[in-house]
Amino acid sequence: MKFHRVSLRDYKAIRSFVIEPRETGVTIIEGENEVGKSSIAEALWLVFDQTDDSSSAAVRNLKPAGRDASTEVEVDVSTGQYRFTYFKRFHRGSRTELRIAAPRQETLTGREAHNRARQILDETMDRALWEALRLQQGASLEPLNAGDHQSLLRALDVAAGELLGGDREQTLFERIEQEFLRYWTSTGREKASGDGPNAPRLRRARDEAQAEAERIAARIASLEERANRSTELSDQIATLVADLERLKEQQGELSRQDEARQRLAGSVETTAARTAQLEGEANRIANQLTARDSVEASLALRKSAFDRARVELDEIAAPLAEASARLVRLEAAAAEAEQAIGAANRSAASAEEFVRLSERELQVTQMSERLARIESNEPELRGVIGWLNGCKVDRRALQEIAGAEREVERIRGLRESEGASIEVSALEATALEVDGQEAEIGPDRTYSGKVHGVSTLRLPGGIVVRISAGAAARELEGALAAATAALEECLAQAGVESAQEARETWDARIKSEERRKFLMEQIRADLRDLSADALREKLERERAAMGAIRDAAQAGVPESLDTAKTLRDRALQAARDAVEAGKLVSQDLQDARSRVEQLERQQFELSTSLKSVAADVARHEAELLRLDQERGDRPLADELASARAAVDAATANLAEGRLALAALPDVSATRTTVATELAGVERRLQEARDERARDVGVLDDAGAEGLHGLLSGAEQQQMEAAQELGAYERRATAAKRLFDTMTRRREEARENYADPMRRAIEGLGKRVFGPSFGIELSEALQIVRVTRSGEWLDVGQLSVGMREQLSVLTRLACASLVSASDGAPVVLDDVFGWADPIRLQKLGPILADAARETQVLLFTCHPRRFDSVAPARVISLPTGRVEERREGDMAPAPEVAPRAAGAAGRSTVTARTGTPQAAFDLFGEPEAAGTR
Amino acid sequence: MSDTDLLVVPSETDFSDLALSGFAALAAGDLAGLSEGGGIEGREAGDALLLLHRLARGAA
Repeated sequence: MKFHRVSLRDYKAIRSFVIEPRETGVTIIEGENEVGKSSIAEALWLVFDQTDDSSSAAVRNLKPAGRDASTEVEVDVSTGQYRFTYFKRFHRGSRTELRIAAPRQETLTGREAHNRARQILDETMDRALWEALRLQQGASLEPLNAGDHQSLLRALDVAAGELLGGDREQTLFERIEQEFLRYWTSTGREKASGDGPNAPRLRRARDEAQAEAERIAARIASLEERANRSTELSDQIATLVADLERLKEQQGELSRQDEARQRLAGSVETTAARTAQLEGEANRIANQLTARDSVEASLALRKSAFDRARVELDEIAAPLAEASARLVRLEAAAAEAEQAIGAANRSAASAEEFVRLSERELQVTQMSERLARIESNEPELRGVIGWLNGCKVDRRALQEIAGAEREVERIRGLRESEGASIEVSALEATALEVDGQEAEIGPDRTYSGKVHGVSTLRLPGGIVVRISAGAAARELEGALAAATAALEECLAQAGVESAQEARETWDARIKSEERRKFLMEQIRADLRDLSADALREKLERERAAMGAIRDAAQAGVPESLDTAKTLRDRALQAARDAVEAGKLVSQDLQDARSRVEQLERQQFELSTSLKSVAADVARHEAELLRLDQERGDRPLADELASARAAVDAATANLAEGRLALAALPDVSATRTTVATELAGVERRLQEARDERARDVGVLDDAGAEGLHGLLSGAEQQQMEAAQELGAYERRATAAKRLFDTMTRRREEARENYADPMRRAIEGLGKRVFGPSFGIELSEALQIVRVTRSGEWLDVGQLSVGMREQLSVLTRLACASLVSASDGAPVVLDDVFGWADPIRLQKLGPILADAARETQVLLFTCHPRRFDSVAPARVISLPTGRVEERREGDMAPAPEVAPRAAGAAGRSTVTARTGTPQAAFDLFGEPEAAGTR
Repeated sequence: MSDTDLLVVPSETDFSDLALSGFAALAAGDLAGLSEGGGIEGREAGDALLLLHRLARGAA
């Protein structure tokens, strides 16, 4: 659907308005608030929705304020194959006129025209989608529910291979779903409630009918069985009566036979009893004989045992005597060993005492030696200490002397080098005098000397030579004297004559120090913790004590400690040997005692046994005597023979009686059986008679019930219930299978629809929100979630601006998806109010691109907001200026054309192209209606 | 004779006459394929097809 022209007259505040929007692309109608932009948008729907005589509030509100004028709306429209002009006048002189130019010319008026126009729209477009493609500022920003619009679904269907079908398929699906819900709940369970049949209810009816039929059939079967049984019982009773007579006759004959046999049996039993009595007597005698023989044999055994015990007792006497003697000997040996051990221990103790005495003597000797060393060392120590105390040569004095000596030698060396040298020689031996000292010189002897001060040589002939050294030599001479004096001063303080003596004295001092230390250590070692006097007194006491001990000791005291130790070791070894010997004797003694005790115990046991056996022998002899006395004169063997002969005779009689008894048949068991059988027959006969009487009564009662008729009815009811259930289940199964199959295919189709829709919206969205933009569509093809940079948000979490932008983009995407013939204009009224300038800059070209195949009418009171929309046709209100904005153009400044002369109050605006595009008379008088 | 013994089974032509499209046509094809397979599932699919036929004629 496309609007080619829209004309309004006396429409609310608008006196006259004509606009020709672009057939495809964006037409921007801009103007300030209250100029009637929204009224123009409203008229696009109202002209089709309202009849010209409508008294609805929407129509009443069209009337211009303060004027009694009719409102007129006229639109030129193409939709599908139709092209028509539709005029409608409301209020006074209401009128509707439809002039169809294509596909064939047709003119209609009134309600017929109204209906025809709506029919054309319904035939060629999705009116609901058209409504949905309108977006007003401030309206709900809920995303477009694209799944509700058949034209869009048709478009998606085409893209997805026409999978969704049309209205008919949708209606069919709803009918299938209704059919499904007749049998099943929405969650797929069997329907078990509500009016009308359902599977549980039908099953219960079938089961109840089946139970009733079974109950009646069982009742009939029971009665038939009872009738048959009654017949059987009559035959049974006749048979039982005959059996009863036969058994009673048999019972009489058996009674007679049984009584005769009982009598013979009594005689046989008497004979058997007598035979048993005689056998008992014979056995008693035989037992007596056996008992005597037993006593006699036992007596012989005990006598034999007595003899053996006697012999054993005699045999044990000798070993016992021998063991007792050995025990006495060993007890003596043990006493001797004990004495030897005591003697050895005493010897060892004495030897130990001698060792201690010798060790004490050794200590006295050592103490004497220590005291002697102390008495020798103490005077020497005192001498050494006295010398050291008097010695003045210490380390410091020695160092001073050495230093003074080195100074003297140094100055002396300098003086030698600085002094004048004299050398006198002569051709002949000549005597001379040098500083008063005579010297000889000659051809082979020369006098050489040094002069440090003034030296005088007197030569033969009265020659005197005075030689004076230089000043330096004289100064050195003085220095040497001073150094020599200093040296001598040091020597005097150290108490020595020379430096050499000082060094020797120092060496002697060191040796004396070492000696003093040695003596002091030795004295300290000898004294230990005693003084010399204390040591001396202790030594005297020990000597006195040892002397007393030696005097008191007898001869045999060892001469030395080693001898004492040797003697002690020997005594200790002798003591150990004595102890070992004592142990051996003690062990032998223990063994001997054990042997004697064992033999004595055996002797006691044999004696006791002998006494016991003797008592047994006496008892058996007494018993044998008693038996013989009881027997009397007749031997037991004879009595036994007589008794056995009597037994044999009785046994022969018994055998004869038993043979006779055996010849008679034993009918007692048969008699009992017959009696039991007779009682059983009587009982069964009575039972059969009773049962037959009951059956006859029951059958008589049941005869009047008409059970077979009831059974036939119940079985019919059961069959009908089963058939009804089967048919119901089959219908329910068919409905479920059809619904499931249809639902599955429909879901698959819906999934396929979503793709082109999503791609269209995402294609636009990526240009606005960036390449990471994505959406998730619901089953109803509604945007439910949005992602940017990987983070998914529910639509409700988005900002208002983004939701509005998504709403616009969704409508543009939907409009682009539907076919040109199916499509409807997108009407946007003051949208993008929440978009920032940068976002607006992006949205403009996108809006223009998306509208290339779609007619978009954009109303706004903010002209600058859509500067970036190009190409576009821009119509400004109220001036009516029309501008064709090309792609890449910036919005130009508006150019307002002057009002046409003679057209008071009406302004006509011409676009820059010079082509009239729109005509406005917003405030002037409208033309008369009849002029159209 | 039960009510399932006597059925009016639509022919393929009958289904063609229904002129189903989209998912409905696909679902009808599914059921037709199953019914040709026989057995319990085939019988159920045949019943579902009969039901579809009845409902589709009503929805036309």
